[in-house]
Amino acid sequence: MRLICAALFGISLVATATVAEAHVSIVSGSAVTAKSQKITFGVGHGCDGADTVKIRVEIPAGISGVRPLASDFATPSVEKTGDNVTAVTWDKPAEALQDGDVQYYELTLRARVDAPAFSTLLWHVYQTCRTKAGVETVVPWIEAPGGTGDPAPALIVAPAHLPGWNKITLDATTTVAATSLPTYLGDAQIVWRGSAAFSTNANTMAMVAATPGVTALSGDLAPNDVLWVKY
Amino acid sequence: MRALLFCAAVLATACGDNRAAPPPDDAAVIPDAPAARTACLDRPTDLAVAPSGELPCDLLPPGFKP
Repeated sequence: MRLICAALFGISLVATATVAEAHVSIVSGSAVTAKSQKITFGVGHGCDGADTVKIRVEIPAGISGVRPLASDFATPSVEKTGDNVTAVTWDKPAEALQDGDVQYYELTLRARVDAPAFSTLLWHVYQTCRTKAGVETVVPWIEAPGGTGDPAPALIVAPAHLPGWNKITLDATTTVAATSLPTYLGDAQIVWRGSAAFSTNANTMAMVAATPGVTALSGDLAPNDVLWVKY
Repeated sequence: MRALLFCAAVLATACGDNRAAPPPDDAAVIPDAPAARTACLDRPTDLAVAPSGELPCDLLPPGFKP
């Protein structure tokens, strides 16, 4: 009986995690600093069975040159202050409303990421859903990590890099917590600081442990640290 | 017949010895190559093979000195 309960608890955890994952999030992966690139938001589900009809994305500081892409969902419109786009809204035509929450949507904009490497940008996104009866619900995805509300989509800003070896020097004000290495450098094959190495690949870390004169990279990255990173 | 002889002469000229010169002696370039453990960029003639579970040279950074 205890075993069955444990199994059911495990299943419920998995189900909860699946639902929690299926929110508005950035599905285009990490961005790199000082480049224009596409940033895609995935809308995993509607609201309590109602279809999503509108997505409004507020542009955070550190982002410029915003140009949204039209999608099957809707043609975008922009709000501006001067020349700067401050928000983008995709508003679905009324006739495209689905009977229920059955579709997955992706919405993309192209923008330049001016935020520094090893930072995270939170995007405030407002999701509007509508039932067939015309009842609308607005869900704000604006909560910072650690909050209890719906989490704001997070854009990880990685250092600019090319395939192969990259020499990356942290600037004079940047520190990176050891626990954040997988977040910012998880795509790398291996990261070196001196004779200490890090990789998210367990097999590579096993080779690190087996190599004389090499240690596992531990501790925070400090300002002006020099890294050799292979992508 | 004269044309045939001409073609044969042209072919004989074209099919000369095109073999490249032998590669330079690697040991002369890196005297201690077998013992040193350095990055591939510093040992361009080495194969990226990991001996006994250690990191292969292609995962060692340029200028690496253990």
